[in-house]
Amino acid sequence: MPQDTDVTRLLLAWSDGREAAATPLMDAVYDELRRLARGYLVRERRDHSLPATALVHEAYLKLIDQRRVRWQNRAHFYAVAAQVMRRLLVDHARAHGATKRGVAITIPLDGVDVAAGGKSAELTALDTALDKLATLDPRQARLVELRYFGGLTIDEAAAVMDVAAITVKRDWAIARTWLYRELGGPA
Amino acid sequence: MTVSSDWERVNQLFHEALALAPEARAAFVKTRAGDTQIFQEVMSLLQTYSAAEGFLSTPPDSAQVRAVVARLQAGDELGPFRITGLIGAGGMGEVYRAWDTRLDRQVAIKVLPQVSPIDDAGRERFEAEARAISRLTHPRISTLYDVGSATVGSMSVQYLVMELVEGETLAARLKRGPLPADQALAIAIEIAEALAAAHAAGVIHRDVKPANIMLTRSGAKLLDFGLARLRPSLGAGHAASGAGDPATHATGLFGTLPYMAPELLRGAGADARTDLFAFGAVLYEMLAGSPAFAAGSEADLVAVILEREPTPISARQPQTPPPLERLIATCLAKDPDERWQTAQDLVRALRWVRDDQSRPASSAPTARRLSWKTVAWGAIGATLLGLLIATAVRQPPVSKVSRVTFPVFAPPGTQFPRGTAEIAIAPDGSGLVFVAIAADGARQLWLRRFDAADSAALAGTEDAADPFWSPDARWIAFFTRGKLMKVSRTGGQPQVVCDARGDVRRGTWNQSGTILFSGYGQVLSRVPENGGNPHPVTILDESRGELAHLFPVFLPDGRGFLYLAVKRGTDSSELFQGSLDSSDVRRVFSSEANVGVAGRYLISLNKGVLVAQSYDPVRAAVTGAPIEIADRILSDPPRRSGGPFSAGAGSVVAYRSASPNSRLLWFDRAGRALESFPVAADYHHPRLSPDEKSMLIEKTDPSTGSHTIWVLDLLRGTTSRLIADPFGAHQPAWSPDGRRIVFSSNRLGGLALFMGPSDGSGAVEPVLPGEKAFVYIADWSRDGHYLLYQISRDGNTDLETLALAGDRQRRTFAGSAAREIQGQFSPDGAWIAYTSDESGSPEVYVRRFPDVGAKWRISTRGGVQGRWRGDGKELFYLATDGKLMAVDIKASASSFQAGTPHPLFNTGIAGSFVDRFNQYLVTRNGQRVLVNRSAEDENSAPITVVMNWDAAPRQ
Repeated sequence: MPQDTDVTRLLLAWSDGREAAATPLMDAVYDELRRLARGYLVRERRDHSLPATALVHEAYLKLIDQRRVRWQNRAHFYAVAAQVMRRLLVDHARAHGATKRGVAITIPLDGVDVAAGGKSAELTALDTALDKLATLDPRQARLVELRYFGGLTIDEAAAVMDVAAITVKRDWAIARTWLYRELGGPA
Repeated sequence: MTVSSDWERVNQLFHEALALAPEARAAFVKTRAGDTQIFQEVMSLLQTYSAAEGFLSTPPDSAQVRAVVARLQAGDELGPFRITGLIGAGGMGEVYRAWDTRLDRQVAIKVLPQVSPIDDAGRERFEAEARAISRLTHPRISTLYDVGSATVGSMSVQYLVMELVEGETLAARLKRGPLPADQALAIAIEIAEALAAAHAAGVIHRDVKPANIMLTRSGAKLLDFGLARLRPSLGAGHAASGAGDPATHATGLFGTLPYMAPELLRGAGADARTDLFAFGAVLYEMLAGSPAFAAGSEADLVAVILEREPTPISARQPQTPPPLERLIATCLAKDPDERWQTAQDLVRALRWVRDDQSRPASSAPTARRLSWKTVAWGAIGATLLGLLIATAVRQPPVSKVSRVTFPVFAPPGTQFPRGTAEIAIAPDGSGLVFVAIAADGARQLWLRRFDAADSAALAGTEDAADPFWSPDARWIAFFTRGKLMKVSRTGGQPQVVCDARGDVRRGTWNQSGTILFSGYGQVLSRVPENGGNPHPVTILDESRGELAHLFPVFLPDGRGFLYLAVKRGTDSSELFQGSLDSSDVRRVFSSEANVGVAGRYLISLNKGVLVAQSYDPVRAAVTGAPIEIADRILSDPPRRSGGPFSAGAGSVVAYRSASPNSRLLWFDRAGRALESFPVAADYHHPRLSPDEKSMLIEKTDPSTGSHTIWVLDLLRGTTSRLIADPFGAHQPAWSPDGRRIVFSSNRLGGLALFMGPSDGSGAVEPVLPGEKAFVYIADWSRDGHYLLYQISRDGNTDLETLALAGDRQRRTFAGSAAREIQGQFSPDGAWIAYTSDESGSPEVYVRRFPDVGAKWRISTRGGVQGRWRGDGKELFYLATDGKLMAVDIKASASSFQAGTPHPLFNTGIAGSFVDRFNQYLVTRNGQRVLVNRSAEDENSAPITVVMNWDAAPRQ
């Protein structure tokens, strides 16, 4: 159930072009995403991956009073949440990722084996590559952010970005290829 | 590549080239590039394209997301411990690497999940447990050094300080395959030694499993001793949840299911022998490579552990020494008295086997057999010895009152209704009643006594729905064919209590003989148990946007009652308390499903978890800590089906677990199966597009109750999601040109109709703005001019049309006291076929449109879901036994003639269809039929019964 109508107001204000609402909106989304993710941690079962995408969807449901928000505003929310999620993950990866080459140390917790460190490097590299893509094609970079960090499907992303699904499919195909190559993936 | 306009060119060439055959691409790009840089860029991307195929298709690693939300960071201090890094996180909180500044050593710190403040009693208990565990020092046991609580910034945390163990878990090792017998044996001995040491000190592990066994350089170590008991309990009641940290999510039964001993599942307390059972399961898995007990769902797994012996290891690994196999079998005996009684016995037996194995294998088979016998005798001797010792120091017998969980399967040849089962537990806890559907589609009530192994059908309860009991457990009331009836539990002719038309859902019965019941678009009505006219008891509060009062249940005093108020604008509902003696109502809390009353407890569903809490009717509020009963309950939002669970006055509940439920199957007219969709999921309301190349479908996720609309591409077999709305999207239909869809959603309140583009590319608009009743689309005329829809108000459903052009006029097409549903325009738009129950049971009728006049009845002995053939010369419908019927039609401007219905084939659709729509469809040429059928029996989950849920598992 949506609790905080303030956030709805912030979202509406920001959608209407009032830039001052952007920062408090981001903060609220950031807090909520962290809180939700912690909740998932506590509830999680073995072998289920913690879905960043589900967090974004749930944050939307929790933060926004849907009665007051129209389709386009919702699109904005997802754009914000995807960006926040990206910042959350990448900032943390940069600050704390200890990249251990070779065997990752795994310590078990309730049956979930977690490898520490190895994946952080990939996230920071992806972030840098995404910034580079944005100088070439801001729309494609935003699409990757929406899909990868926000978890939107092709159709949802198309709706959010207000372009045709076919355009999104093509953008996705080439953006993905470009990023893959940029990150040194073998052909 | 730094210039954006070049990038546009690259994009364009890339996609054009992709459409060509690979060999032709280079030449094409070379000609069109006009610039070597652009040419190289496009070619490079083309070459990487297929390798990049799956890139970024899975979302960020869960480990990364976890790491982000870890509550502590490097540098934080917990007392004398300084955090140096995060090792991992899981259901029990996060584990960090830390430095012990007093003793100058590395430790592991486990921070427990944050819940609402633990009271002093809870903290004391926690510390007493920890003290016992910390006394364990053994090379094979990872030591618990300390426990503590600290404040970090604004957070207060509870933590455990443990020995930092580095290595690989047995679980991770087993992912790569089974172990050779000698390795498995070595590990087994070390773990058994750990258990022996712990049991001698009076500590039971309670959660022995491969993930808790660490393979280190110096041997195997057993981790997390007794910590399963240290899980904090749930926080305070519902009012607090919904914002902030959700409550901890434990199964209520401590341990990990595949390794749990049968007596634990029956609610007995854990003792040394439960650890040994788990040990046996682990040893089995080490040798066989896969778990001893496995099943598709938790409820099935419980049944497997309780009833089935695991496949002998020798079947999978023929090299396994027989003595080892027998040793494991002894560990896995269902009766704890038949197992090894102490870990010490087990250690001895394992050593025998190891020493025997290490003896050089002689070529004579007889010598081998002899030594096997020696070992067996030796083991038995050790057991006898062990028994003598064990009886002296055995744990006290477990309490008789213990939680018991067992499944109730659908009787042979029947299935439960799709979605939740309609279950009612007898108030004396002696059994339960449920609805099951036979192969011929007949639905009826069955009674299962808990002291029996089988269920018995209740005669005379055909077409029954939503049963409930009298308080003395002598009568069972149910709804059928527009009436509320009751039948004695011992059998006999059911009696009518009163009329109950419309979408009735559930009733409740008090000690003074008053029955309350209700349905969609209705308020609660009361009627005397011996019959009479129903009178309303509650009033809908329009100011709160109430649409219906559902699922009434009497409180223990028989005067007060609880009910669910369904509102517009949200899928969540509110629980209210009312009384027969006054018109005051009081709000209790928000609830996602119905509630049950069991004595002084209120049973409710909170985020998919079934919980019980003390309820104070004087204050209309819950008090005290919730007791968790079960999770993963199969549940639909309350407006759509019977409540997902039932509670008895004693401490018994029953519910169904979530599992997928339907298949889309193609047949020809003769009923021969054609190629169909491979996937089973919860599908509803398939609708073919006008060009018959795609299909709209509503998909449900049974564990979250979410409803979304998907488009299936019939040629490629792919699916893509079209409408995903937090409010749920239901029952879609196509426009005649295939460019738009219409569907229902709770977005604005009620269940309103919306229209939007069929490629999901644009906004969605309400079709009937301001309409507050429940509306579902039935059909869209071929000429595009009219919508036909069902509208439910005040407990009745009618069919209306909306003219899409001009004045957008709404007209009633078929409206009466009877239920008119499921309409379809004939292809020429001059007729409408629909279903009505005016005769007492649902039949298919045809009427002219738009000049509505006389009606013709098409079906003879019951029929639903009439559908026209593409040329209007044939009508199909479903008979109540699931047979697909066909009727020849001769219709003209001046006359209408319908032939005799003849059966085509039996679709296998079970159940009472009147509430189900769009269960089949026919292609335009009438040659192929799509049937939406329930998945096979092994997929449908049984009812799970939990008895004595209020008895906490004892030591």
